Formats: sequence, structure tokens, C-alpha cells
Amino acid sequence: MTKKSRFLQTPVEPFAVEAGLTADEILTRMERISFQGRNLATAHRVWLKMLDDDVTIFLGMAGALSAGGLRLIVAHLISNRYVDCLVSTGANLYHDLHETRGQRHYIGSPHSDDTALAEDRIDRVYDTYADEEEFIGNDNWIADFAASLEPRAYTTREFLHLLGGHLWDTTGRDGILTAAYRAKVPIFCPAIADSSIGMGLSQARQKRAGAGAIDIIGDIVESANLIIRRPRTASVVLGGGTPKNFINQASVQAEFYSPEVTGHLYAVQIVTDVPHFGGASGASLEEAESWGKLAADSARASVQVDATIALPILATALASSAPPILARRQVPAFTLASRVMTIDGQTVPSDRFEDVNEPAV
Amino acid sequence: MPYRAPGSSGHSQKQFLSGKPITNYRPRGSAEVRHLIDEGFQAFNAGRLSEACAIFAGKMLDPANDTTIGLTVAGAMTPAGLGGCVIEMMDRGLVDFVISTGANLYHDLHYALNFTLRRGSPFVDDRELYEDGVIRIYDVLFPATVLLETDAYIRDFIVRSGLNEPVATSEFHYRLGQDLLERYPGCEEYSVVARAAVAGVPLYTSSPGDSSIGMNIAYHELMNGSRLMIDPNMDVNEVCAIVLAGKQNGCVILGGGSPKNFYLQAQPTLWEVYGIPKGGNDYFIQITTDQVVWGGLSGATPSEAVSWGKVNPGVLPDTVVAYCDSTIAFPLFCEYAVGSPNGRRTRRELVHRRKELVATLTKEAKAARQKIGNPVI
Repeated sequence: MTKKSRFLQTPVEPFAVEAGLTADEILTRMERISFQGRNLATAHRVWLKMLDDDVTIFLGMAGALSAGGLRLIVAHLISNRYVDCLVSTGANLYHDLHETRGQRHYIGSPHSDDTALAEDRIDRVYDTYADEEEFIGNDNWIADFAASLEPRAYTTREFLHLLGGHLWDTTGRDGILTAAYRAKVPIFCPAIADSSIGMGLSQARQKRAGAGAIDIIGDIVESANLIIRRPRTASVVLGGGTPKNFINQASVQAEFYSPEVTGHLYAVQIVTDVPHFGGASGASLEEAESWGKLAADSARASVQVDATIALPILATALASSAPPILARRQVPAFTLASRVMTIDGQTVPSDRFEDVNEPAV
Repeated sequence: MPYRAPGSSGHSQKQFLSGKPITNYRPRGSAEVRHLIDEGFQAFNAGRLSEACAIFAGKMLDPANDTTIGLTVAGAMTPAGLGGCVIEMMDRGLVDFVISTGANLYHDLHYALNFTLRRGSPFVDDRELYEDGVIRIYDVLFPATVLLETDAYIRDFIVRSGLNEPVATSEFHYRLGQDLLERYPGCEEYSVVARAAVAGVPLYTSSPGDSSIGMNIAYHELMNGSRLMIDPNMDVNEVCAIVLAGKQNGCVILGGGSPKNFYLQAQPTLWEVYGIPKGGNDYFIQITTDQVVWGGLSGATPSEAVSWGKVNPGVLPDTVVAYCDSTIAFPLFCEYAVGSPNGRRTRRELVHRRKELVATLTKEAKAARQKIGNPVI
């Protein structure tokens, strides 16, 4: 075998340690090492590509990232329009609200005595603690706000925008909900009932008849129509869970009604789950392609890593590498403060969807 | 006893050692389990395990295929009571040789010496265990004296054996098994090492220094000037010779680790070092909790092994990885194999054929060297 194989094009470049490297410089060097390190570097590259293309970028967020200290990174991504639409678990929004209201999560240990924690009414999230009394206060605060709204059904997109506005008005602090409110970025929360926000909404019903009604199906109609209106999309998924599925199903749903929808053109996922147990959280991006959730020629990166490791590195690198691209980026413009949302001046839901479906709201 | 040595304070071991004894479960070929695996295990890793069982019982054990089967064992299988499965497989001729971590063979000796390991909890205070002189392997608990007395037995055996030269691990373990049979009659029902000596199954350890057996061999070198040592070269050549002699080759890999590599390096040794074009494995079954995404060998797929010449490229349909804890999958796998129509084969008793097989390897390797005109190196 004297002729060099076509497979041996690019040598691995051993990572050279150097003091003072910036995060994007570290990731650039990691493009030439192996395994999940290289995948993380590829994710950086793919995210830059999606920013440089005319696509709507969805961010999915599952796992206790807000409690785990990543909420201001997500807020930064929203404020600077690294992403255009957030799909989150309820808990991440709730723990964001907890801190935006001036309360904290605390450094703890994963090897704690949970009986002793329960005696002090401390709730544990792996190695992070929070005060249960403060949580009860949040639930009431949410209930009071929800009870102050006109009693009708709200999509989570509309409710969370209003909630973010109220939170900004009362606190003036940065957070995911307030950043999304101020940047007019929509947030969907497909499993809102499965969180303390849902629990707060249930308490609103005790305060006022008809309060706390959420139109979950309206979310599906809106998310699909966002894509029908603007068919070129990308997804960034942290942790899998219901947000990953919700982002992907919006694309599948939109494809039924518009031949222009091809599935996401770019996809990054940062997950600790793995494909071989068959669940959606760990499913490979290739599997998503079979469903039409991803375009066949999409640029993609799947990184198996805890988001608490990956996201600080990735976001810091993007803060160096992305600004020139962000400056010329054409972002979709939303209005979110009423029953019917708009994207780039067009109403969502679109007529095409409405032909065969009930109106969303 | 020195302060903070195991057992130094006044607590009682009783509370920790009150669990049921761990016994060596022996698979009996349950028709119900076979039905479950054939009809109930249909998708995901249940599906993979079902495929693994079908490939093993239907193809690897088929007498027409005459497959030489290696079993590799990593992870604390004997402390968990899975030695009984290995005993049954060896007795029935369903595995021809075994590559194990040293720890699995060391902890196997506890059963032969009639010590009791007990079921416990993985959520105990290890400082209390330490003070009470109780050793923990995840949720398996036993007194520290078991280690001390097993160590003493190994050191006594080495003296009794008269072994005073470099040996292969297969030889060391065979002699160890014979000593157990002599001193503890009937222990072959409870001990993999003893049963292997009865069934003529060679037992190899890929990292002999990395276990209590190696620790006690080292003792005699330091304290008594013993010349007994483990010669890994002999192991490499014996395993190559066994693989070379196989009409077809297949493996069952539990966990991964160094035994997985040691088994799989045999074919590359044959083609890459000795110039003998044996080809790769014909069958590959692995049960592991490791994953492919971290780049390590334990989680590497059979497909990756194809690129190395460890697995034949045409046989990928006869390779399968079930991502599952071996303590769940292996007893089911063995029940299936034992109950299959091919659930008993004539034993090869390779332990008695090692010399002859290595001689064949030597002859073929020399012939291969002659052929390329470089007999010197």
C-alpha cells in the first residue's frame, strides 16, 4: 500500500496548550482533534453557518439549565438574536423567573442528606439547592398575574410574552423571559402543565373563574405556521426532551401544508442521551432526516456532552466569532402581544393552514 | 490492628452482612425464557439481545459451523453471582476458552473456598463499612477477612505448586483449578476456575498484574526470590494459536475492557505480525453499557473492528451489540443457549492441546516468513 488512501486527507493536529486562548480559538483547535471535542467544534461552525443564512433559528432547552446557571447565556443568545424562537420546558422558565425575581439557587452537593434537606425545606436539583418557601412565593406571583388577565385561553407563546412583560415591568432584570419579551422573541412551552408555571396557573383558577386557561393546540398551529410563513429553518437543541420533539414536529406539520418546507437546513444538538435506547432525546440527527424533520443536505452536528460544559464554551466562542455575521443578519420580526402573532408583518396562522383547520384562537 | 484499619472500631458487621448470600445461578434452559426472548424481545436493546441469542444458539453453536468460541469477561461478574452461567457454559462445551479480568477469577476463588458474599445496598455509608471491615463492590458486601484468607490461599498454592518459572496465565489458572479440586472436592459446582480445570477450558487474563492474583504472585518474588512470573507472550501466542485452529471464530464479549481487546487482537497478530491470512471473526456478540460516542474500545462497534481485520467484512449481519448491563443480559442469554437444540457440544478441552496448537502456529508463521523471503526477523 504505497499509494496514500483517499481516507487519509486531514491529519489530527495534537491540541497545543497556550495561555490566554479565547474560546473560539480553543474550538478552532478542537476542530482537528477527535471524538466529542471535534463535534463541539463542528457545532460552533454549524451555528455560524446558520447565522449567515436566511433561516429562522429555533432553540430547544430541556434539563435544569436555568437552575444550573445557564439562564443568562440563553438570555444573551435571545437578546443578540443568535436564536429567533425558544422552545423550553416549563421548569427552565420557572427557575429563570425565580432568579429574575431576585432569588437565588445555591451551590450544593450531589451527595447530600436529603432527609436533612427536607427538614429545612430545601429542594435539591442534583448539586444545586433552592428554598421551597421562595418557590411557593413564585407560584402565588404567577397565579396573581394569570388571574389579572382577561379570562380566556392563551397560547403559551402569548401567555409567556405577557408574563415576561410583567416580569420586566416589576423587576427590570435580565433573564430568559424578560430578554425574550424585550427582543420580541416568541417562547413556546409545550409541556407547561408539567412545571411550577402550570401549578401557578392552576392556582389562578382558584382566584378567578376561567383564569389560567392554556391553548396547547394553538401552540402547534402557530409553530407550524411560523415555518409555513418562513420555510427556511434551523434548530439548536439542548438536552432533547419535549422541546426537541416540538421543534421537529412543527417542521413535519408545516410540510403537510407547504411544499416549500423541507425540514431544518441546519441542526445542532447537545445531548447526553444516546441513540441506542430508542428514545427521541438521544435519537441521531440522521433518524430525524427519515421523518423529514431535517433536510437531506442539512449541515449538522450532534455533540454528546452535558450542556453545562458545552454551552458556556460555545456561547463565549460565538461572542467572538459571530458579531460581524450578526450585524448583517436578517432576523424575522415578530409581534407577540396579542392573540394573533405576526412574523415579518404576516399573520400567523396563515390562510393555507386555515383552509383545512379550525382557527388557532 | 492499626487505627482505622478495616475492622478497627467496635461496630458490628451484622447489619451490613444480613443480606441473602450470593449464589452461583445456574441456567437451566427455561422454555419460558426462550419464548420471552424469541417473541417478547422485539425492539431496541431487547431486540439486539434477541438477535444475539439467535446468532449464538442458531449459528455459532451449530455443529456444522464448528465455531471456536471465546468468552471475554470484564466487570465484576463473579462477585455478582454470574460465575454459575460461565460454569454451565463451559461444562456444556458452549465456550471453548475464556479471557477474563484477573479480578473476576480472584473473586471466583471466594466461592471455591466457601466464603460468602452477600446482597446489600449500593447506598451505604462507606466510612461505616470501612470501620466495620466490610468490603463493597457496588451492592455486594463481604468481610475484609475474605480477601485476606483468599490471598493466603493463593500464596500457599504457589508454594505447593512448585511453580518457579515464567508460565502462561492458562497454565497458572489450570494448576490453580486442580489445586482447588484436590483440596475442596465438589467446588467445581461453585467455581469458574475449578470448573475450567475439569472442562479443559483455558482461562486467560489480559492484565495479570492488575488483580489480587497478580499481587500475590508478586509477593513471592519480593519475599522469597521466586522465579514464578506470568509471561504475557505465551498468552498472546496461545490465544493466536487457538484462533488460528478455529474453522470459524466467534466471541461473546461481556463489558469490554482489556479482555475484549486481547481477544480481538488475535487476528491482527496473525495477519499483521505473523503474515498468516487467517481473516477475522465470523461472529461477534457484545453486551455492554459503554457507548460508541466517547471513542473508546469498550464501546467500539463491530463495524469499526472490520477496519482492523478483527471481524470479517461480509459477516456484519452476524454481529450484534446489546447495550445492557451484563447482570441482566447474560443470564438470559445463557438460559436461551442452554435450552436450545444446540445446548450441548463436544468439549474441545483446549487446555490440553495448547502445545500442539502453538507448534502449528510456529510452523505456519515460519512458512509465511519463508514465503516473503525474510526468514531472519
